[in-house]
Amino acid sequence: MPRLPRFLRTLFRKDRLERELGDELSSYLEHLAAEKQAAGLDPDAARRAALMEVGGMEQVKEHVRDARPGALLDQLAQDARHGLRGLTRHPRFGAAIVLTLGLATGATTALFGIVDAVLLRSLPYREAERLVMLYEGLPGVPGLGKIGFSAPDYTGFRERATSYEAVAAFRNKSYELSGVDAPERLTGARISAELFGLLGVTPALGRDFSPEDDRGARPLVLLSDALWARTFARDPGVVGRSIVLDRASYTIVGVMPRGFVFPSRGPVDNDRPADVYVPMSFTSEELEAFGAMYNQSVVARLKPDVPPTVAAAEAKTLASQIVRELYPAEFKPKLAIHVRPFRDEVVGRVRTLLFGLFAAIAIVLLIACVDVANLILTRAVGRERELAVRAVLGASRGRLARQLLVETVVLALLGGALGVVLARVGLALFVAWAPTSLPRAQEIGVDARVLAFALLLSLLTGLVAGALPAWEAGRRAPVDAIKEAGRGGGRNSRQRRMLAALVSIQFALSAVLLVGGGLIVRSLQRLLATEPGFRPERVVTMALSLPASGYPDAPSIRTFYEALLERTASLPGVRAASLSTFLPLGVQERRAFSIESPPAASVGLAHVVAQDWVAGRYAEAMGIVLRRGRFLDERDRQGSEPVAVINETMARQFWASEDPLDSRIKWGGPTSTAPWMRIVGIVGDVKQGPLSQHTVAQTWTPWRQVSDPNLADNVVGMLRSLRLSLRGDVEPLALVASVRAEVRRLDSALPLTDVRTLEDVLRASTSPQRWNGWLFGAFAVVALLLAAVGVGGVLAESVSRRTHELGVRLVLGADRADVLRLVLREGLAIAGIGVLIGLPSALALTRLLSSLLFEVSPRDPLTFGAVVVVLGGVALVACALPALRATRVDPAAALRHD
Amino acid sequence: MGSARNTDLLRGTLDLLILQTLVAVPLHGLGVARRIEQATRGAFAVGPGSLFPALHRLEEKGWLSSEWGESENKRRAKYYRLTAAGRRRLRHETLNWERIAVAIARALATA
Repeated sequence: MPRLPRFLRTLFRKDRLERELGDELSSYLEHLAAEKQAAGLDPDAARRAALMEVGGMEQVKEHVRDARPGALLDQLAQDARHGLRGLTRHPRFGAAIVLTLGLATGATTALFGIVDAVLLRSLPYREAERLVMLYEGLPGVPGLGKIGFSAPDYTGFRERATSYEAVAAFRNKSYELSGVDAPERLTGARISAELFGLLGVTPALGRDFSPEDDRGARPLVLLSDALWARTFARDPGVVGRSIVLDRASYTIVGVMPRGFVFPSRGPVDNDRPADVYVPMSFTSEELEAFGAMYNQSVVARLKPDVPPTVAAAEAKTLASQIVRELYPAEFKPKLAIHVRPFRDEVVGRVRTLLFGLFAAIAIVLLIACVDVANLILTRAVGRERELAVRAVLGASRGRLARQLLVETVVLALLGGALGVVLARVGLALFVAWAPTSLPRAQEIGVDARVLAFALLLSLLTGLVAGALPAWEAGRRAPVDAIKEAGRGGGRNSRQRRMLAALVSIQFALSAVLLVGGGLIVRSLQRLLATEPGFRPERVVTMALSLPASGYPDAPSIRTFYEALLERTASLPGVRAASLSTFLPLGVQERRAFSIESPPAASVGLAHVVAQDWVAGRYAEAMGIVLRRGRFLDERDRQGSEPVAVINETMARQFWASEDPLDSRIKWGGPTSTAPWMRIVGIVGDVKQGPLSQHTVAQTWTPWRQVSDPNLADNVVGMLRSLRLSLRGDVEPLALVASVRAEVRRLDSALPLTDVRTLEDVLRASTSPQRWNGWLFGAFAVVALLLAAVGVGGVLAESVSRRTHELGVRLVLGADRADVLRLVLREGLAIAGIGVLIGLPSALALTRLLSSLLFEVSPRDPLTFGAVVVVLGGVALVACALPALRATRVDPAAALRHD
Repeated sequence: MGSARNTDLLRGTLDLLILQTLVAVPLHGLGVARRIEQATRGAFAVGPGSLFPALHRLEEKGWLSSEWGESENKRRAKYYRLTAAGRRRLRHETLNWERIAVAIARALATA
């Protein structure tokens, strides 16, 4: 017989082997008895003596079984069956464990699914590790340390840099899609012709852009798979046909592959996945915009032999070279160029968050494991007799330990199966509700990797939760076990100490999690309490964009918006109507400027401001506070003196103690030909980005004073795309229908998009933080509950074990308060030790969270204090029930207890 | 159980003794135990708890074969016999054992 299947033979021929073993041993016994008889004993005595010498026949058999190859497999299967049988006999016990582990592994698996998709799996681009993002920066200007490239800087950089195989720029741009059943606004992107080649992605249909496409002005477009499916029902003959974007015809050259998403969610700018891609084709105006329009995102592929450090050094040199060689003589700003790994840029902002969440869920999982270990230990005590009988029947101590371990692993695997189901549901919900800023959210799901993780995790939790009870079962000699089982069981003091230690660990872990969650919730509180600088109540806002073909020149644009403003302002229920290029919290434009006679404080400062163009009663519509002078109004029209309003930050930074009112500023450097604008007012700071960001210097200028060529410009299209905002006396969304009617009357083809209340805008800006708060808070609460269950369980067991002792104490004159104190002291000591371990650990760990915190120190004493109070309170409540039961002990009954 | 610990320690030794015992003639379980007792002048009293696991283990490894036969006192018994592989194994183990014994003796002498 070949060697390999021998252990299988053991399994399959088990019955015969067992029979033969039985025969062999009886034969042995007979021969032994015969020996004794020959030595002079009578047959009965000889047989008894032989039996005595052999000891337990079953034990010998067990030893032989253990020695067989394949015995382990056989026994594991047996243990697993045994475990399942036990489970059906004690369904509540099994259900409690499966549910606890199912919830914990489910949450962990779901989170692993997210972490895996977002952080661990490589980006879907060729050799993604060589991709970098490039940024410009204006050192020393708050908030502008890392910004996009301007077109001339990008071109200059690309011509000079030698570290890269290819460099490409892209920029989000919105397009009106008409000529279809339902006109809509699409998110698009202008891209360099080299972009997709650089990423290593080719169109699924048709062709990529060529460098000629990028130079020429031919209107060409690549479609996303989603748009192709939505608008063309995946018609393969779509290449060569045309679509109408901004009322001009674009020829379709290709369709991108399914699942291709670009730009990626994540980076600060240009992070909206596009449905249409058009060639970048910089205009001459863009190419001359030195010191303005820093809004191109730039991605590059490093040459294989160039490390990022070399590229960074080259970028530093090139930054000053570009300023020296290209910038106009009178305007030489301090410029920096940064090189960052592409992957970090895509996932960087969520990395800490996801790792933090993963740590949090790992703690919850550990606590759950401890609860399960606790449950099994408790039941192992109840099963003492069963285990003792098995020991007498020949099971070795190792075998008993293994049986407990296998049972726990079986339970954990069942929990894992439940967990996978929960994870699937959870992930589906998550993808639907996740903040839109989460990168790569579309790649999240339960796949083979996630399943493998869940399997490994359940095995591990089973082993972790089962290890202690198994060890405990293994180290007790059967004789002791029988004795204790005979006495009716109960834990020895070592077991009790171990349980208490486990619960202390639970409290320590909960303390860590509560501190982390508490800090994040406190940050959220601070964030929500941050003054945004505007009043969002009863304001509705919507976007309009006038396509070049319908509105080719400035007068047509002016006529449309003036009419719209006039009509909406006079709608019933509207208190103030305004137009603006941006909304608060989303001011994207940054401009270089100069001051006519520079105040002392401005010397050496980088002259860059956030800028917004407004018309109508903007200050009133937004609820911005006027500090001095006046806001822009009807007087500021074409032909009147150019004016500007600045924010307090700008006044403080550039003028300090001097008076900015009546000073004059202009766009560009000191010798630019832009007209001077007189500062007529100073307003309170309004947040230009997320609430957590610093407010930077800002200007507001009249949209009506924009020059005709700038207004009609369709390259950026910024000034022909405005937001209409209405402050109402009524519920603001009720105004939308009548606004829609007015717009339709002015231009029936024009879509009205992004209709939101200003309150929604404000809420959306804090949604990632609120989301963090909820998640961490929820984890902390779950951990707390599990820990409470732990301490409650241990104490309840302790009380029922000590019923007799408590009865004696009561008889001997202790009053009920003493008993209460006695029990409470035990529970609180367990919790207290946990907290004493947990707080210093938390202190060491919360540092890692600091990037998620806002205006809260990672050592915030209030949070730490609150955690101590909460944990103490929960421990008290968890202990109260068993303690109260202890006070109700009837001494007489307790003494009869034995 | 004290004998279990002995088994672990002396498993290699017991295997060697069993193989050696079966060189000349096939024996049944009790026969093997008695022969080892005689050969070691009673130094090794082999109980069934260590004897049978060892016999079954050696058989599974192919060093012993077994068949049912009739014993000297007309009783059915399972007889073990050394196989060719068992003989090779015994030679190998014997050499090993002698090397170790010499080494230990030398070590004890110098200490």
